[in-house]
Amino acid sequence: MMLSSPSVARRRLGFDAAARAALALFVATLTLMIGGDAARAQAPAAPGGAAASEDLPTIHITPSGSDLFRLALPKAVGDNESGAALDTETRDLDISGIFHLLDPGSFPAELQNEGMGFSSALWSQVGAQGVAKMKVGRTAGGAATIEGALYVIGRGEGPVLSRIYKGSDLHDAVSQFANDVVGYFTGQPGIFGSRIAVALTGKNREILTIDMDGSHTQAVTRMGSDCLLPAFSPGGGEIAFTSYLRGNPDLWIISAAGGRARRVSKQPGLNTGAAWTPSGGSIALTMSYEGNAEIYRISASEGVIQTKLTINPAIDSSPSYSPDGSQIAFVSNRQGSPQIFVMPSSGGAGNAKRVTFQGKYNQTPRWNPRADKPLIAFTGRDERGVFDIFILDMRTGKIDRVTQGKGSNQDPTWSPDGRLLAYASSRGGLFIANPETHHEVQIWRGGGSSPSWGPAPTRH
Amino acid sequence: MPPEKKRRAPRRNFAGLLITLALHGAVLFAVRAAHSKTDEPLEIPRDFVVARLVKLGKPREKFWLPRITQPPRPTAPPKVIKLSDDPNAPKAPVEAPRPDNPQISKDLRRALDRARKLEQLIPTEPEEGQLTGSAAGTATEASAGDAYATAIFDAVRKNFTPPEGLITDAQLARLTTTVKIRVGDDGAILENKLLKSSGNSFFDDACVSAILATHKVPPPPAAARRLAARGYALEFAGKDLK
Repeated sequence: MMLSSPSVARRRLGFDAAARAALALFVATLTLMIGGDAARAQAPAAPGGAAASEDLPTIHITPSGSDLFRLALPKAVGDNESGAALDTETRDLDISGIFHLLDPGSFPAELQNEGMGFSSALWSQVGAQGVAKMKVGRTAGGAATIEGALYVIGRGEGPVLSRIYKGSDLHDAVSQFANDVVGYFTGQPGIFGSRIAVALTGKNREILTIDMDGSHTQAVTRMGSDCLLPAFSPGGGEIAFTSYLRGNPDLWIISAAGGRARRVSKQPGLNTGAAWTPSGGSIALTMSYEGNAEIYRISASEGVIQTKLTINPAIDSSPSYSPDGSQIAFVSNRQGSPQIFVMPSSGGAGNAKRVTFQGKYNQTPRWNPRADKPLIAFTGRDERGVFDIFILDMRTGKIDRVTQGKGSNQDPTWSPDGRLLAYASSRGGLFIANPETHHEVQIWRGGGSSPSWGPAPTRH
Repeated sequence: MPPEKKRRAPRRNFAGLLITLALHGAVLFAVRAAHSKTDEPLEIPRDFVVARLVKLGKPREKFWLPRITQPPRPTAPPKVIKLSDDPNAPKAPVEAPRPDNPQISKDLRRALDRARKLEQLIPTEPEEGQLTGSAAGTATEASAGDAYATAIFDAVRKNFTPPEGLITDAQLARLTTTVKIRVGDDGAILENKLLKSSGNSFFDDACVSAILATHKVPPPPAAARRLAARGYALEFAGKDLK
């Protein structure tokens, strides 16, 4: 017992040392593991996850081509009007020129019958980047309603836009939804529901207005004589035009709803090419009562001559105001061939500046209504003798082409939001093109010339 | 005595416990060390270089109005597939052999014949590359890792078209978005996570929807499976040139 005591003590000492060493080793191991874990956990949480992406092998991918936003428009849910609603929706969104509308024939049955729900995985399989859905209904009073929903792939399974639209008719309700769909992508409300005035070129040369999607044509004048060059007032309430009713090309103004026209300017010779000032109080036009065609400004109410804007032995015509009303673009052949010039809206003999230096025959300038985009659309004749639509960027002086290789295209007019151009074509009727994407749609098949696009529809 | 014995026993057990703990710790450490070794990154694929040639022709007169030169937008493939040519179509007439020019001397004709025969002996060189290569490829050879990265590149790129009209060309040149994907052994894309936004939501959406539309890439070869499961960073750029 006594012998065992020191040995026990020694053994205890040995045990203690071993235990301490083992404990230290264990703690060290734990520290290492926890420390390592913490370091590992911290690495991906580094700012912006940059460290995580850097340590993954990178594959660089560039676009395989350019395409518009691929939008699917499945069948509308609802009663027998759902087909008409889908037709209007398809037409409107096609005209906007920013969508590649997918062929509904490529949608499998499970997507056609999906209702108002949405599965991003399934829709992305048919190549869609977004889906616009509609449900047609009626209020208790019988007014048409559209429940519209827009889904975008990459934005989750919920709609990015969902609203119920009440309209005066089905077309109106669908147009409101189409305006909101375009608004989601452009940041500006769409302009569906706005109207375009056009001079008929057939037997009855009267002024007509058309909905911008080609529907709802309405005869405005019943002059029984040649009417041409219509111009919508900035508020959209009136249309100025030139008519030969009294034998001379006089300037007349009529309510956009029709009715009785009043003769505003009856100077001997030309009273043509009216351009309203942005405030709507005055009109710039070409007159030739002094012998040579010059541009004048008259009051819109009485036709009183306010100023003579150009003084030049050449022909000056076709004025168009800049959106702030400070400048006028016009056509002059003062340097030989017809070219586009710009002058301050106060006019003056030496103040005009030539702005087009390409092509031998440029005419009908139209200033973009957007103040942030100083662009002038015009008709130009290219070296093959064909008229086409071009756009001049006033900041850079660069000219872009809008139409090419498809008949002869003339007389551009900007949409009220400045994103689209309508023009007359030798292919027949009116076309609308998006100058940025070059997407073109024929909106009307009748024979017409010099379209004038009215203001955006007012919504409450 | 017995109480002393009782006091000693738990002490000995405590030391045993400590040794056990230390041994466990050592085993855990060894396991972790063994695992961390396999974490080393694999061979990282190199960048792809895309070259584009300038069209040959007469330069346009500066005075003329511009012409649109951009390539046409992709259109839907035709619905009718042409299986074969019309069997009833008339055959193209065979051109009759022209008589030799008697003005040319015998020696000259013989020399020309010999030259023609020699020309025919030269084998035409087939285009070099890989049977599984990419149409956008710029090299004739690739390592196994690169070949699979190219397969992913091809599959995703096909669906990547940033929306024209919503993003201007000038904006497009500055946009890059990085998305992480992980690929399963069957080629299914398991994860699709935005790592770095371009700042333009339309461009980001176009990148994510390109991956969603791709849905599945070719299954990775055995050598690339670990890398594929760990993930790739897909860096989408708006324009070819940096």
